[in-house]
Amino acid sequence: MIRNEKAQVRILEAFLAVLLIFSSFVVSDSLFTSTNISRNEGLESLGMQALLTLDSEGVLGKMIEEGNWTGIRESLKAVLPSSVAFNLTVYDDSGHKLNDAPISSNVLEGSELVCVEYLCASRNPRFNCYVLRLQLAVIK
Amino acid sequence: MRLQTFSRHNSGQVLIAAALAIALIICSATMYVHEVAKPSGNVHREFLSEFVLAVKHGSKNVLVSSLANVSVGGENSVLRANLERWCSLVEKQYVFGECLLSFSLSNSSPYMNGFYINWTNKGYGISSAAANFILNIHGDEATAEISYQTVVSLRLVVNGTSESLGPERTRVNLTLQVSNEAANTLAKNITVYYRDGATWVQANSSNNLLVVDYGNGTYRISFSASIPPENVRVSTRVFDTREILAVANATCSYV
Repeated sequence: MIRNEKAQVRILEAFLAVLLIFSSFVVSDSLFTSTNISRNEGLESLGMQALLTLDSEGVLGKMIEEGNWTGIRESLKAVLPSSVAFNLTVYDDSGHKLNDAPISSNVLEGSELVCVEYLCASRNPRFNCYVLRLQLAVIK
Repeated sequence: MRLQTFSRHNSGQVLIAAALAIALIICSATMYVHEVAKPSGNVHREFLSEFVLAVKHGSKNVLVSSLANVSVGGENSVLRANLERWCSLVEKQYVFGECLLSFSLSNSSPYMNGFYINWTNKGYGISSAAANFILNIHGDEATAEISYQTVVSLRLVVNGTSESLGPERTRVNLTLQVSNEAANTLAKNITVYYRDGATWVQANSSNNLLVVDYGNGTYRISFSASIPPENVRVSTRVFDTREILAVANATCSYV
């Protein structure tokens, strides 16, 4: 009877030991989740860099004024890594949506999104400025 | 024998202690890897600097747009109006906190109300705009005050010679140098005029107009005209790729 009780205690102790090690993995996993947040900040930075590149010679503002949404989409595809999906929406400074066609690559649904807002001033002698909302996600 | 009994009696506790130690090692190793791999706020700072860069770039584009407008005859007030619109848009942003962008038009000599447009008869011409900005970002995520000056300009330098090709027939050779606020730049459109009596006449293909582009902002222009070869006055009107106009007039030296 005493031997049985001892065996039960051993099993309990072994169970506790396994639980301890398992919980350490759970804690480690939660730490990696916070690392992913940093990666998202990197994605925001990547989006901002892409829009800055396109706007370097005033090309972005020109394409918006021409309504060249396909040109913007293809340019973004060229400057962003292929593993990053995007969806861009262009608004005027009053907040009205301008692009009547989607400016996007792959489907963003189901992916963790980040959103970057970029302010674009056109170089046209008839001045206009725009707000570009770029949604980005890493394709899994 | 006593030691063996103790070890047998406490083997479970030893197991738990060992598991605890292993768990601690796993946690601390993970934390260490996490700390080493963490960008330590650099990414955040990088994004802030990119936001500032975007605002600076936009401010420059406002000046380009306004100068392009004013250089073709637009009202000077367009610069202030455009900058107010731009600042208002920036202030609507809440990226790291409250954003405040203020500006002042450059009035330090030779600028007046943000502009310096001087198209001379001495072989050079300049169209320029300048403004000073202060960007304030104030919030939990970041606090920054960035002051910057933005200058946009188009400069022309022209000089030339005239030679006689016969009675009342003159050949004109010009060298035109085009530069912006940073370096030599390319012209999008060049128009050349010469003075015939009291009127300016545009040189064209009937004058055998030839423009050689050296690709570095230097242009060699030649044409012939039915005018006396002495004191030939020329005028060059240049639009750069940003649609900014500058004009430079010169009197050619007779050779």
